[in-house]
Amino acid sequence: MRHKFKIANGVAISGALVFSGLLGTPATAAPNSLVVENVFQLTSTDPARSFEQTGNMINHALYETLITYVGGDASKPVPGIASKWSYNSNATQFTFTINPKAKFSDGKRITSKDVVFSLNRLKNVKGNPSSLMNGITVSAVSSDKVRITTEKPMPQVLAILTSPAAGIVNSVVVKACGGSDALDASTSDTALECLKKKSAGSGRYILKSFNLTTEVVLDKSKTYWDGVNKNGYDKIIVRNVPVNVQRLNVIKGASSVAVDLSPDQAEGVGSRVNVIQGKASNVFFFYLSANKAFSPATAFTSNPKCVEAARYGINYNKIVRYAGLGAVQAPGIIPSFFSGALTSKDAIKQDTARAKRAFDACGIGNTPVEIGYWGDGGAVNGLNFGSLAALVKEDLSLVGFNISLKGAPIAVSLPLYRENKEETGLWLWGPDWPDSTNYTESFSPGTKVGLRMGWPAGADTLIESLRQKAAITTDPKKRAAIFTTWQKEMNKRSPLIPLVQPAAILVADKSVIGVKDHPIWKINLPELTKK
Amino acid sequence: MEPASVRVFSLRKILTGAGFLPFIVRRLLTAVVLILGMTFIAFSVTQLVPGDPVAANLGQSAYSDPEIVAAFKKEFGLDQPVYIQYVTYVGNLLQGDLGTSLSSKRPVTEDLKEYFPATLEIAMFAVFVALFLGILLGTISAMTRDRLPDQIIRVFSLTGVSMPVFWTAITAFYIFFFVLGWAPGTGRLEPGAEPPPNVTGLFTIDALLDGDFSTSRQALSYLLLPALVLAVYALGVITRFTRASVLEILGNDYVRSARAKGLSEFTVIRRHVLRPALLSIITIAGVAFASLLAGSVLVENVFSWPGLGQYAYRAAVGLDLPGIMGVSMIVATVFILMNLVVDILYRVIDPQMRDAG
Repeated sequence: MRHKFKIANGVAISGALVFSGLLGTPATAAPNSLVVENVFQLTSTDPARSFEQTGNMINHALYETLITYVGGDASKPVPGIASKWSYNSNATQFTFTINPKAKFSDGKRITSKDVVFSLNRLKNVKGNPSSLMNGITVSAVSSDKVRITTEKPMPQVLAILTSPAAGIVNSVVVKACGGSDALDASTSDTALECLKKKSAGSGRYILKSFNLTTEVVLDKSKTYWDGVNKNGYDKIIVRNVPVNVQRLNVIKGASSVAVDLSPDQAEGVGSRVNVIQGKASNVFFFYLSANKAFSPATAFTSNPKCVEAARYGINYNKIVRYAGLGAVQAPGIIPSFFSGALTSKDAIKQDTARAKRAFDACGIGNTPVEIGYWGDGGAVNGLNFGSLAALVKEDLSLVGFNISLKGAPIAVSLPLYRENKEETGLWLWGPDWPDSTNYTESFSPGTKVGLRMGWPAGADTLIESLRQKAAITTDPKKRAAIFTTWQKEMNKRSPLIPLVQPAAILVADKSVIGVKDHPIWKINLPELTKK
Repeated sequence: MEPASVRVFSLRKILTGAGFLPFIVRRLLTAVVLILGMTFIAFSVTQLVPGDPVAANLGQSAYSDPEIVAAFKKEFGLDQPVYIQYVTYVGNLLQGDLGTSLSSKRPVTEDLKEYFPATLEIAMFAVFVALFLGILLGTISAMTRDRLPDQIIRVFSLTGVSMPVFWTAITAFYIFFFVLGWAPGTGRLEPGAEPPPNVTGLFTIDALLDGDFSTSRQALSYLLLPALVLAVYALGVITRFTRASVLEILGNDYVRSARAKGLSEFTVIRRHVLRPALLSIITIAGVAFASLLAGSVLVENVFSWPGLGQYAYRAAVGLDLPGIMGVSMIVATVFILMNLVVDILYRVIDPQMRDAG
């Protein structure tokens, strides 16, 4: 018996030794490497085809744009590849002069040919970001000058051109990869796979390796045309890691930056990391379908009195408390840092008595109404759609609505929302480009979200005329005033009810300098340096 | 009486004997029919889901642009009627073309070549651990029936089959990585590390083939924790099956005869108990291995393991029909192959089955 025990003990101890010996200590990347962890929203590193958060973050480091922003700012464009630019008074013609020093990572000088090729390719491959180029034409004026012409006044062109999707590619390299900017590029361009293996830009980093589900590795460009940043990281590794593991890794020092933590998760992370708190560019909103004919419920939800009942029935403070540290009530659909954003004094306040009066006037009674949303645990900025929908349901039930929750996986719920097949819905909007026109052009009657809410063109002439005015006004102050008025009118009569603008939380090791949240590329990787 | 299973047969004799080739041919033909049937069911079920792959894969602005939507539908054949899509799919499948993934935008066969070996690596390791420990613990448990070792092992095996794998993964990661600092973290290698030259796709093996022992050891250290977590469930099942089988056999007359003849307990267990018990153990091990392949989604997610599970999850979320079909094909093929292997092993272990043909 004693002999058996000895054998058992020996086996157990050997097993433990092998186990601990094999596992070793937690891994760290090579010296002067930066490990950024996030839940991948990534399809490729082809700028003309990538339009997701992770893709934007990576492509912003690989491909430079004509103009760009510094730090977390998204309002004042600064020179990128273009050293200067100008535009006419009605914002239909923009001219950019390419910096004569600007070169791609292979040393080739950037010319107008590359710019024209890149932007035409973006337009013609018909990828996810191609719609950015709708109504925009690009042409070469000379080898160092390009002209962008728009069909109608588009002051937002400058903001659009900062998008990583508008990154300038080396036309020679991309053509050699099978790339094309021709009208039939949606079928003839075959550069996608090639651009997952090597980058063809002028950014401070070049692509080392790409894996859609694990990590993307960037190496510092040794030949960057505007001077190599000596304090910048030699290698940046962007990894796909679940949120709860991101938290453990950044606390443990196995990663440098965690991108997706919620405010709750960012609490108690210890003293070796910084918690950088900003405002997310996403705004969560609730809407009631204005499509009278869709269902018995929408015959009522299309009634402005029903919308009023919901608008004043919601307890916004409770939603903000749920959203946690740094979140604010969204007074309008335009986030706080864009031109013309409303302030907290403009925000709708809960008024249950008014809501109940409006509910009675609406006449919906006990007719059941469903709320559609991303339901399989879907969450953005740490906010769970299901929990938010439950809060809205609770408030509206107190007003008198007979509400039921109808969450579904994103692949099921998103088409229902996009095809105007919801009675009410709870969704969010993140900007396609950092300018308030993105909101007037998306939420007014007859625009894409307007139509999703069953709100066709002609439904509100004042709001539509404000949209038109915003589109052609170039003076910044006048634009801001129009955006403000547009939102106030939206808050009075649209089917849309802005709910909350959550906090954007980044948790970074204290040795990393320059971490700031950006509404389009989340983190400006090339700006990060080591303490 | 000596049990039939104790009679030893040459493996070569069995594999080259009469009846084996027709048996294999019959099974392979059945496999083709099964796979075609599976494609039909998987295709139909995917069509029944009230989702839209276009909406799932295009952004909010692109989805509102008819030209982009049309180009996307054309690229992936979604502009064709469903039955044409299916016929085209099967036609391409017969030529070895699994289509192009909607999410990765490259041939599904390329994707599977990349992701399948990662899953195979942890699944093989997990099944090896589960088989070795499961048979050992199950036998000990049966031999010490109702005594302390049996009770402890039963608690462990019950825990193994009861705990959700996601919970086990998170807990193991927290304890071994965060608290003890033993585990190296997530992924297959250190962040940014160069993978070994691709031969088998199994990093531990490929690094060895390249003579790079350091990378092989590193790959093994990253492999260990997710594989052990994946093994927990299979270990519980195999332990319980082994215990039940051994207990049943222990009560047979021939076991008492063997003991009465004065054979050592080890010999009795090895020759007269474990060998006949292997039939049911092999059955469950085959199913367990295939289940590990199919059920690695959650473990792969926690450990950021770039395997079939992560690929399947991504394909499902994006309603990526070719991706979903590709994963279904792989899983179905593995199930069919494992059943075939199990049947062959039956014939090796039990000559009655071989004789039955």
